[in-house]
Amino acid sequence: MAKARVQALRQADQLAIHQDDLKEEEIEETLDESADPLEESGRTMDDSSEEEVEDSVAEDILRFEESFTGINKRYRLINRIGEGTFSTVYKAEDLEYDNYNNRWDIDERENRKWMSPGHQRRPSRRPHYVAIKKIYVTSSPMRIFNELDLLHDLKSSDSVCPLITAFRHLDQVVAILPYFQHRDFREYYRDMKISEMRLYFKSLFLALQSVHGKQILHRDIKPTNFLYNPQQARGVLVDFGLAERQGTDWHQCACALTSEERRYKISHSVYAQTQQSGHQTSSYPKNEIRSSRRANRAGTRGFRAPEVLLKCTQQNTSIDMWSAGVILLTLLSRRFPFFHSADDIDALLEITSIFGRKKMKETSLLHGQVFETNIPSYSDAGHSLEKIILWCTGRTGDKSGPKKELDDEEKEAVQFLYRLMECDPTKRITAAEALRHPFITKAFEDTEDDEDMVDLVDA
Amino acid sequence: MAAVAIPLSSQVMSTMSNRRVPLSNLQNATNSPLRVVNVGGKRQRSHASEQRDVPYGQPPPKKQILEVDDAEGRRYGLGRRSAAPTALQKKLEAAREIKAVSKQTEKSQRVVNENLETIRQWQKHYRKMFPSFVFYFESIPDEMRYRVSKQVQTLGAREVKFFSREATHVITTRPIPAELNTSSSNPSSKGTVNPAQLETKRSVFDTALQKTSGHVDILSKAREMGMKIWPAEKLQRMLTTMYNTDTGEEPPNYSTRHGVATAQSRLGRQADLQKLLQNEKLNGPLDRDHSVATQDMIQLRGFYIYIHDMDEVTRPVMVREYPKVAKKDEGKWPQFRLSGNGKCPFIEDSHHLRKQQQQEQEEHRAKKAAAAAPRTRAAAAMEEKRVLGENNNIARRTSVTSQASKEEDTKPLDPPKIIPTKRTNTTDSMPPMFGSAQASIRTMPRFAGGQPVASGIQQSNITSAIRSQMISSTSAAPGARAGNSKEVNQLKRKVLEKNSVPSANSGHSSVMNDMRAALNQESAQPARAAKRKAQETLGYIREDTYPEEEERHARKIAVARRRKTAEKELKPGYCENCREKFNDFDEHCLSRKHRKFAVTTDNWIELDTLLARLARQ
Repeated sequence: MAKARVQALRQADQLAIHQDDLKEEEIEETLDESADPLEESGRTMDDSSEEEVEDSVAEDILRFEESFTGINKRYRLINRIGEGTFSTVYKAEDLEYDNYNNRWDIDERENRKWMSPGHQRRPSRRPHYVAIKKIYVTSSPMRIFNELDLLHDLKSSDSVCPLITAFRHLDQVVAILPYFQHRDFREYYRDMKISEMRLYFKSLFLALQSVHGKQILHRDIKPTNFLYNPQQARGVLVDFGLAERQGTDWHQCACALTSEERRYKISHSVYAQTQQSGHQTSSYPKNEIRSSRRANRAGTRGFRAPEVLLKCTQQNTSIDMWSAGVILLTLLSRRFPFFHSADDIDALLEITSIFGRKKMKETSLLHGQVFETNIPSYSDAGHSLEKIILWCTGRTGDKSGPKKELDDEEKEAVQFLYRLMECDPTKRITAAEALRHPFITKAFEDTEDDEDMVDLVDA
Repeated sequence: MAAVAIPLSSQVMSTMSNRRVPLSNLQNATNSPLRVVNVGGKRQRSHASEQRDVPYGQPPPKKQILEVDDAEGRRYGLGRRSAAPTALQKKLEAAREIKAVSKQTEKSQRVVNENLETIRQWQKHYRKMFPSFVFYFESIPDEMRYRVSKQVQTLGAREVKFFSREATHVITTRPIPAELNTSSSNPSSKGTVNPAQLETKRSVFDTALQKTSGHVDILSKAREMGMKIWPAEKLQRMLTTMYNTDTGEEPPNYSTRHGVATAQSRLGRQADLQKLLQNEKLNGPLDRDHSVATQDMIQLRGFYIYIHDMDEVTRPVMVREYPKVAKKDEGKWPQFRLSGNGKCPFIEDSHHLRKQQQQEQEEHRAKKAAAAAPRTRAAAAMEEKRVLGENNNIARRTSVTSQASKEEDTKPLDPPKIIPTKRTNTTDSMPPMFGSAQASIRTMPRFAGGQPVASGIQQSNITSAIRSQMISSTSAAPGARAGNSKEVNQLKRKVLEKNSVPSANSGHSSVMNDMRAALNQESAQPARAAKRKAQETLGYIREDTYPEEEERHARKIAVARRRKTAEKELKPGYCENCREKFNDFDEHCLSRKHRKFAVTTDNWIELDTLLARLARQ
C-alpha cells in the first residue's frame, strides 16, 4: 500500500518537475532579456540536473518532505544537488520569497540595477530558487551550532554564501541558502585562461580575506566549495561545516616558536642526540604506548596543507591558502584532481615528490617532526613547479627540439603559486597580501579596461 | 531518561554564544573530557555499547603496527574497530605469526654451533653488565676514543671525561701495572679468562719503572682504587663480539634505545625525569635483558616513510613501509606516473598508455615506410608525452616491437624498456589480479559526484563511519555535464555502484580480498580499508565489463532492484548524539534512543536561541 502511494506521489512529483523544466527555460529567456552586460555571450548556465531526477532522489525528497512537517508549504523541493560531509543539499523553489526581505539575493540586486524603473516596481514573477541544506540528524547540536554561528558571523561578507535562515523540526535542522548559479569546475579546469584565473582567485581571496579577517579557518577550500560563475567573475564560498575559529584547541607547536628557540629545541631533542650517538637505523616500537599527536585534520584529501598532514597543533588560516594553491596548480597543470592522496601518508608523499626530501625535512622539523624516507622516487631537491606544469601539459621531453617554456603570464602565475604552496606556513602569503600581488592586481586592471571598452562602445 | 541532560552543558553553551567552544568539549563527542563524567547514567544501561564505543576515544595501545593512526583507515572502521577482529585481520595476523615463527626456527637451526651459544651467553652477561660500567679513557687517540665511547654508550655505559672515583673501568693503550692483590677484586678471574688479558700483562719490572717516574700514575691510582684496567684492544675485541650478529642478535635495535637514554645522561640533564620516564616507557627499563627486548622494536627494512616526534614523546605521525622493488617505478608509493592530459598525474592511466602504444606502433610503421622522412607529427606528439627530465619513475611502457626501433633515441635515464604490460612480469610473481591490486587500489579515489570528498574530521569524532555512509548513500550526482571526461563520469557511476555493495554483495568478494591482501602483504594498509578499497576495485572491474549501450539498462535494473530492497540497503554510520554506531541510518533515526534525544528540548535550547536570531525577516 505504502509503496503504491509513494509511487503515485513520485509520478506526481515527476510531472511537477517536468513542468519545472519549462519554467526554467522561460527564466533563462527572461534573464537574457535583463540584458546583463556580462552575459552578452547569451550562454546559459543551466545546470542540467533539472532534466532528470533519479528515482532514488525523488524517493529521498519525498521522505524528507514527509519527515519535516510543513517544509513543503515554504519550499518546493526540486532536486538533490549535492552531498556534503554532514549534509545533503537540495535545490528548491522559495515559495514565500515575496513575504520577506531578500537582501541576500545578489542576482536580484544586480538585476534591479539594470532594470528600467518601470520594471523595478513590478514584483518579479519568476520563481526564486534556494538551496536547502539538510544537516544529518546524527550531527550533534554543537556541530550544527558551530556551522550556523560562523555563517551568521560572516553574513556581512560578500562572496561568502549568506545564510537566509535556518530552522529545526525535532532533530532535523535545515539551513536555507541562496541557490547560486555556477559552472562546474570540471567544465573549465582544462582550458581556463590565465586572465580568467586572475579573476577566479581575486574572487576567492576576497572571500578568504573576509573569512580570515574574522579569524575563521574554512578548512575545506576546494573547487566544489567555491561556486564560481565565470560570466560574472563572481564566486561564493560555501560549506562551513568544517570551519573553526583560529585558536580552537591549540597546543604549543614548534612552528610557533622563534627560529632561534626552535633551533635550540631541535638541537637538544632526543633525535639530535641519537644522531650524535651515531645510531643510524630506523625502528619503532611494536607495542605503541605513547599517545598519538592530536590535531584537527579536517579537510579534503589532496587539499590539506603539509602542516595539517604533519598534525601541527597550532594551525592557522594559512592552511586555506595552501588549498587555494592546490586549485591554482590544478588549473595551471590542467590536471584534476592534481593530488590523488588515498590517505595522509600518500598526500605527504605526493607533496614530497614535488618539493623533494630536503624541503620536507625542514618542513617537518618546523613542527617538531623528523622526516625520514629512503624511497628512491623522491629526489633531494625536488622539481620546480615550472617543470611540473610543463610536464603535465605535455611540453617536456623533446631534447632535440627547441626548449619549451612557460609563457610570461604562466611564469607570473607560477611565481604566485610558489607563494601559495609555501611549505612554511609563516612564510605563506595571506589572503590580504595575495590581493595585492601583481597576479591578482592585474585582474582589477583587466576588468577596468573592459569597462572602459564598454564605455567607449556606449559613447 | 531526561536525566540524560548534561549538567555542564548549559555552562558550556553559554560561553559559546560568542565564541565557539572546541568541539572536544562537546559532551557527546567521544573524545570529550566531559563525556566520561557526564554520561555515567546512560552508560550503565548497556555494557555492550560501552565496549563498542571504547575504540572511538583515544585508542588504547593499538596492535596495528604499520599504519600508525591512519585516519583514512579509520573511515571504514566499523568492523575493524570492533572487539572481534575481522576475518581478514585474523588472516593477516596468522600470516604474520607464521612468518615470525619460521624466521626464528630458521635462526635456531643455524645456531647449532655450541660456540655461538657460548658467545651468546657471554653477550647476554655483558649486556647486563655494561649499563653499570663507567669508563675512563686514558692515553687513547682522540679518534678512536670518540668511536669507542659511542659504542659503549650505545650499550648503556658511561664515559667520564676526568679521572675520578666514579669510574669503574680505565681503558688504556699503555702497559698495565700489576694487580695489587689477587683477591676478589677481579671477577673476571672467576669466569672465563680472556686471553687478551694474559697477553698484554707486563712484567713487574715495567710497572716499577713507571712508578718511579715521579708523579702518581693514573693507572696505578686506578689499581689502588680497585678499578678495572683494560687494554684498549680488549675493549675493542669485546665490542666486536658484542656487536656480533652471527648469534642472531641485532644490536641496532637496542642501540636506539640506549642511544636515547645515554645521550640524555651525557647531557648531564638527568633532572629531566619526565623525558627519562618517557624513554623508559618507550624503550623499557634500562637494566633489562636486551636480548629479549629486540623483539619490541620493528625495524624499517624496505623503502619507508617514517615521520616521528623529535622528542619521541608522541607516537610517530606516519610510518609506512613498502616492499623493495627492482625498479622504482614499480614501487607502490605515490609517484608521478604516465597519465593522460587532464588526469591526476599520480595515477597511471592505462587507457592513455594503450593509446600511446598504438601511437608508437603507428609511428613505427610510419618510420618503416619513410625512414628518411622528417619527424612525423605523431612522433613529435609522442615526444611531448615524455616525462620530467631525469625523473625516470614515469615509466614509458611500450611494446617490445616498437621499442626496438626506438632504441637509438631513448634517453640514458629512461627506465628499463621491456615491461610489455603491467600485469605480466611482476616481481612478486603473483597472478595478475593479485599483483596489480595495490596499483588499482590507488586508482580508486574517494569521490562523490565526481569530486573529492572532505574527510579527516577528528575533533568531534564524528568519524568516518558517517562519512562513508554518506558517500555510499544513494547519490544523485548532478546529471552528465558537457565536457566531462569519460573517467569523471565513470567516477560518478562508481558512487552509485557502491551503494549496492555494502551489505548484500560483500560476501562473495571477501574471500578473494582476504587472499589478495594476504598475498600482497598489504600490512601497510589497514585491513578494513584495504578490503573496502578492494571491493571498490572489484566494482570497477565488474562495471567495466558493461558495454556502453548496456550500461543504461543495467543501471535501470540496479535502481529497480534497489527500490525493491530499499529496506535492506544498509547505511551504516555513527551518531554523535547517541554516541552509537549503527548499521542503518534510517533504522537508527527511528530508534527509541534517538527519538528520545530528538524530543528532549534540553538538547536543543542553545541551538534554538541561535536559530531564533536567524529567523527570516
